[in-house]
Amino acid sequence: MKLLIVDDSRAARMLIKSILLDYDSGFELSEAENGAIAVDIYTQERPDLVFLDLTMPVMDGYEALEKIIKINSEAVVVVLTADIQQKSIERCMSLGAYRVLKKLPNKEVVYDLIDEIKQKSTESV
Amino acid sequence: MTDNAFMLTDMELDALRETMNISFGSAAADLADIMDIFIQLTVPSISSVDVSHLPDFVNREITDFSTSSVVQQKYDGDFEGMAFLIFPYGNEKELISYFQDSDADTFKSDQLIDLEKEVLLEISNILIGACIGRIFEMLNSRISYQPPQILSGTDFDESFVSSELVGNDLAITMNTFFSFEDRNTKGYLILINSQNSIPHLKKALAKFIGE
Repeated sequence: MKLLIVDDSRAARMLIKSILLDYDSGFELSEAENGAIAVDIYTQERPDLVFLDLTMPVMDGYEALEKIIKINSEAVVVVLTADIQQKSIERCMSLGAYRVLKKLPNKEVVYDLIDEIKQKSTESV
Repeated sequence: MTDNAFMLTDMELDALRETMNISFGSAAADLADIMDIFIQLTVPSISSVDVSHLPDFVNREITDFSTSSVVQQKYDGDFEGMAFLIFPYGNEKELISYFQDSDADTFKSDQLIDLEKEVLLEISNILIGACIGRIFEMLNSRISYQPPQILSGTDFDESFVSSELVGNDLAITMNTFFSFEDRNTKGYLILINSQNSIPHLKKALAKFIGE
């Protein structure tokens, strides 16, 4: 499974990476420090799942989400953000996010989410 | 005096910025729920500043700082420092409108000033309390708070003179700008941690990032 982690904070990327590798050390992980780099990587690598922060320099998560969904309307983008205001969550969902999770996420919540995505992908094959 | 023992590495600065980002996001969500507003957040920034340069530092960040409304809250414990929530002049009147349906002009001027102070303190209580509380919870550290107080921008210099921060010491500042959607209201939150806090901060950050 290919995953892309997008966050301007290296510490945040490290934390998410460690949660994901605890679940499955075989994950292929890519990282981006802003939305613009994320869109480039998404275009080239087409990851199965994207973890996307919202508040970032250069290009924020909303714009990146919009662009990724334009590239692939079936893209699975999980927004992982500190901005958990209802309006922000609604905006992400309307732009096509699969789910919005509060930073720092509970490991079990992330693992359940991955299981759910794997299950959906198996069903759709 | 500052030396390398008090300097934070890039990774530590990054982790500290992330704790501020998460904590302020959470605090903003609390305030947004209570006031039924949407708060636009920006990427927080972290700086190391000599305490004696702090007034200049804040003056550079905030236009017309001397006329701003400032709420200060000190804290101590594992970390020693102070938080300032700063609103440019005139915003306190705008803030009142979030707390009432009728027009603020129905108050007499002295009542209005009291109300402005109460509103400022209430907003600060939510934003500063929730933000600081969450940061130090993530860093597994304990602090206690002193009651918040309102200052004018011109009192800001004196607050350092009267505090335990020493002029040659290094302070770690964590600051973020925010604005309320649909209103011309902007604010600035700055947390200033004393040099004495830095050794504990380094240990807490190492634990936070799993080093």
